[in-house]
Amino acid sequence: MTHRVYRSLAVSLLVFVASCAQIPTAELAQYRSASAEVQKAAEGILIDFAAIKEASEAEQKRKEAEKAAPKGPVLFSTALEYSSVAQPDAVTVRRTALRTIDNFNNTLATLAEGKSVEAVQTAAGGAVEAANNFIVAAGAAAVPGLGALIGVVKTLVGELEKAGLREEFDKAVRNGTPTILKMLEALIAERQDHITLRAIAADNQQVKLVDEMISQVQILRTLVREHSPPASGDPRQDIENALNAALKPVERVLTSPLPIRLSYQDKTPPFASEHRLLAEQAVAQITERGAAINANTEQFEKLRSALNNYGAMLRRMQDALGMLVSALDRPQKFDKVSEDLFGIAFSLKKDIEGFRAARKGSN
Amino acid sequence: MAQPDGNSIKRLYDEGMSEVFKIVGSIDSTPEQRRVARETAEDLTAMLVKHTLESIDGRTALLAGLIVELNQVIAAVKKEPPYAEALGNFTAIVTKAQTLFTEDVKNLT
Repeated sequence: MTHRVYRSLAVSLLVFVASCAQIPTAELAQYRSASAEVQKAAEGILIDFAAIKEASEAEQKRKEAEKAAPKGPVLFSTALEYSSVAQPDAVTVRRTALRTIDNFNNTLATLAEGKSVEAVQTAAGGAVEAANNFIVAAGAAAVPGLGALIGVVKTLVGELEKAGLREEFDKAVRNGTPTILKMLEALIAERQDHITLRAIAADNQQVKLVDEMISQVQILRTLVREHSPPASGDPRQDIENALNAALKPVERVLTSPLPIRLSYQDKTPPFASEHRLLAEQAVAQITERGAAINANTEQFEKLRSALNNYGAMLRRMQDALGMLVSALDRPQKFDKVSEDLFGIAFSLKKDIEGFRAARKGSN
Repeated sequence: MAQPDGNSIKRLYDEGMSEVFKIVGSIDSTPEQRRVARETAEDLTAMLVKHTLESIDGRTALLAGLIVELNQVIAAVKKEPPYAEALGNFTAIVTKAQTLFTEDVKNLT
């Protein structure tokens, strides 16, 4: 009778404990996989971020120094630096943020792996054995069916441990999520500053290249305009065709419409072979600048695409974390819980029956 | 006077740069116009770079604070729940009690 009461009590306790001891491992796995993707992609993004930030800062310092360059006699500066605290390096902080998220994820994984369940079961077995040894040392008979009793204790303590881990997991996810979401939000917003610095660099490179290219077009136009047609073998049309062919791939950066016409002017010296050579050199330089303009555009677009993909990864990680949090509040799937309960109840029943049989045998 | 926000600085930069490109991209612009355009590009660049670097610095401070917060959450997680330790202590106490008891029995006999 007493055994039946104990058994039903133990099973009821297990039903309660097991029903809340489920860590949402599928959602955790999805979140960790999204996070691992972000960690991998972030390294390449941060390398470029560091490079463009450093270049922009160096350029800014150079311009400031240029503006502040003293005119007239140079006086010794009395300005001193008052801050002894080094400013944290921007890129290191971003790497640390990602590493801290990774540490947090590893902590969650440790809880989900439940290694302490085995440890606690071993300790429980040891405690029961120690208690039995004490009884024997005191002169009493050893507890019959101790092996099975240890099984009962281990099952119960293991389930309690799982519930404890689930509670810690729940607390960690709920406490860590708002901070991680803020970090991810900051990294998503950061892409805007990253692309802005790259756009500024690309714009400046483009201004320089377009300016050089158009200057060559102007030189070429002037070269032809300052001459009249040669007596024979006029190369003007060929040069004009080559010029427009060179400009065609970069038509979008030109304000002047294509085709550009080259025309001679009367009462000027004839266009000679050395002029033709100069004209061909100018067209070659225009072609070269055009290629550089396209390369500059392509390079920028590739980074923009990389930052878009990186943003998508960060958002996926946000979503996965959101799903993990939702899973904490959602009742576990009934079939999974009932399957677990069936396993636990069966092993407990076997242990209790073994214990009862051993006791009966000793009486 | 209120400080211009990030959007208005970027808009100003975009509008200014668009004019710069119109001048440098025209075969009819004069050398003087081109020089002014290049200088304008430099000024616009300095303005937007300054603002962007300030924005990055602000985010660095924010992230540094969030790192501290998350580390506190990690530190607060008990990876070793109390049962293992409590059971270990219990075993040690019982074993010690058993030793003392055995010695007492020996002393009495």
